[in-house]
Amino acid sequence: MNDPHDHKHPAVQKPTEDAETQALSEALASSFKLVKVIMILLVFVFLGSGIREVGSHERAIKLQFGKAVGSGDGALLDPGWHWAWPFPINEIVKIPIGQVQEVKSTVAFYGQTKEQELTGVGPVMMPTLDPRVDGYLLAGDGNIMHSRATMRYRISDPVRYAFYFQNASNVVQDTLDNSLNWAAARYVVDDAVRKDVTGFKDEVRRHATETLLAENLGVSIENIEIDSIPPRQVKSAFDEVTGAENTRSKTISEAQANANGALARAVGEADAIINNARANATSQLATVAAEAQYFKDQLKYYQANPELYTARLKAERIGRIMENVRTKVIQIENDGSTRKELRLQVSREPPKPATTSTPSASAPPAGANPAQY
Amino acid sequence: MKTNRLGMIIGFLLLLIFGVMLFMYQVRVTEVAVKTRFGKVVDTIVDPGVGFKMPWPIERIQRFDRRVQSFQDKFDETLTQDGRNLMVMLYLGWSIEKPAIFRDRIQDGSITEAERNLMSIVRSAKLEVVGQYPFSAFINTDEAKLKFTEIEGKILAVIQPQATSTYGIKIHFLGIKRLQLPPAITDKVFERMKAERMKLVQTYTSEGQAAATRIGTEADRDRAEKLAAAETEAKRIMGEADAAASASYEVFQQEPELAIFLLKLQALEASLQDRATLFLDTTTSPFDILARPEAKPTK
Repeated sequence: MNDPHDHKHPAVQKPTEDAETQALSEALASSFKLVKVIMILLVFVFLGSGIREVGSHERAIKLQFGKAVGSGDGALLDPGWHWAWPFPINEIVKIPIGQVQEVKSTVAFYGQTKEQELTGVGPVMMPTLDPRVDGYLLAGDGNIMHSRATMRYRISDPVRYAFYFQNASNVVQDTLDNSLNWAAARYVVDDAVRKDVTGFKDEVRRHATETLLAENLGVSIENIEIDSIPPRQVKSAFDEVTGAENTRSKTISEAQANANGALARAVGEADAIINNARANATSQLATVAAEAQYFKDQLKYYQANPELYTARLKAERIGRIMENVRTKVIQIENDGSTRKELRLQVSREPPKPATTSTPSASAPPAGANPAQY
Repeated sequence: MKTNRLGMIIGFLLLLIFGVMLFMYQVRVTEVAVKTRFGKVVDTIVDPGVGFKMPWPIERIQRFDRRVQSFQDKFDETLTQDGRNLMVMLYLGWSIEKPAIFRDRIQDGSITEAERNLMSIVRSAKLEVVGQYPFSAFINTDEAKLKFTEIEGKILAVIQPQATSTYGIKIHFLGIKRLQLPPAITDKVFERMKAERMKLVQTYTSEGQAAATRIGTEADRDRAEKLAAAETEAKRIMGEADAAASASYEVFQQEPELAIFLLKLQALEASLQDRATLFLDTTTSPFDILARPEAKPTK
């Protein structure tokens, strides 16, 4: 009665169930392995997410539970790869410490768009300045000037710069604007825009440096560039002043050149006067010496026969003089009532070169006998 | 067994994380915080780091930005002591000094709301202090009369106690960011600037001419001085020469008549060198030979 298959059937069913269980078990095991792999991968990703690269122009500070690790320069991480536990355990904050930062003044130049600034063509000039769009500075003499200023700075205290100021660059810009107003308030506009541009810039820098130090911002100024101009509304008047200054300089230069020339000529004239005097003195001394010598030479002839000597010398000289005299009038007779004249016109020729009455001309030859004269 | 152990580890970790989140808090270096218990402030946390707290809703940590905020005042007109209109804009740096007061007085502890409240204090202080100084105290080329920095310090001194006591805010620094005139006045300033430039043009022109004249007259004076000095020197030289000549003339003392005769001859010849017209009578040698015998002068 018993069907032998009745005993076989459970035997057939059990292996089937075991296989399903085994398959399920294997599937679960493989899924669990997959989950483990994923979890391990997630752990690696989690740990790897704490890797940060610090660039060559940057430094970084590691925060641990919100607090900086280390203090001062010791808190700074150098450029390169750094690992930290992911947030909220660690946090790496990068600071652009090596880069030069830049801010521009926003309150001292008339309003213009970026296109206008690039092309150099300003907006239409209005008779007044509108404080909503136009910036300017009030100078110490009550005048108005425009200034375009750029300040470049470096971060000297990265911890203060990064963690103690919500927007440090805004404070730097405010400080630049303040320093421009501070310096302008004590400057004459002509000095600030033309005559003492460097001095004005130095004043702005000095005040900005002191203020940034007082604000403890953790920055140091690299340089400040300032371009100051008079308002466009009065530019032509400023140009006229510049022209007048140039004219003044030119007039003074020309006068100085003329004066220098006159003085140089005066020096020459003075030298000539002194040299002439020296020459005359030398000549006079030589002449006197010659005359003295001549006198000495003639003395013995004169003493030998004064009358003959004087008559001879007089006749000789008169004769020589008559050669140069153009007209000679000799009164022959004068009896008181009538006068007779003999007029001799000897020559109309130009006079001969003046003959100097050198003693030698009349001097007897050396060795002559005085008695003959 | 192995699976159960791993599961336990994971469960423990999750429990740990959950526990940390419930019982611990972290305050960043840029923050300050207050700990409240059932809404009431029980602690002020100003140092960064981690701390313990009872889980919500028993205790709660409320954080605020502790960094210095940059704030700019409204750019509006104020009256100076001497009744001049001046437009002044201030900038200042402020931070939360007393978080508990700040939390109580500022709605939601909002920075924007805090600055809105700060604005009224700053404006009031600005009006008060600017009204105490004349216009010349803001801009002046005389350092003694210029009170720019003093005015900034005084405004800060007025704001500081109010801001701290009322809102728990500390003002770190304050300065003038903009200083301008109302638009209606700028065209008058331009007119004055033009007039001043015209005066400068005249001044520079006159200065140039005056300087040129001065230089010219100085040069004339120097020239005259140099020539006078040269004349003096020339006279001195000639005087010395005359003195030396006089010494040489002493030889003439041996026979003065001959000396006088020779000098006369020399003078006569020198004076009649250039085609002169000469009148002579027959008494003059050698023309005496032309005279009649009775007219012949006796010697």
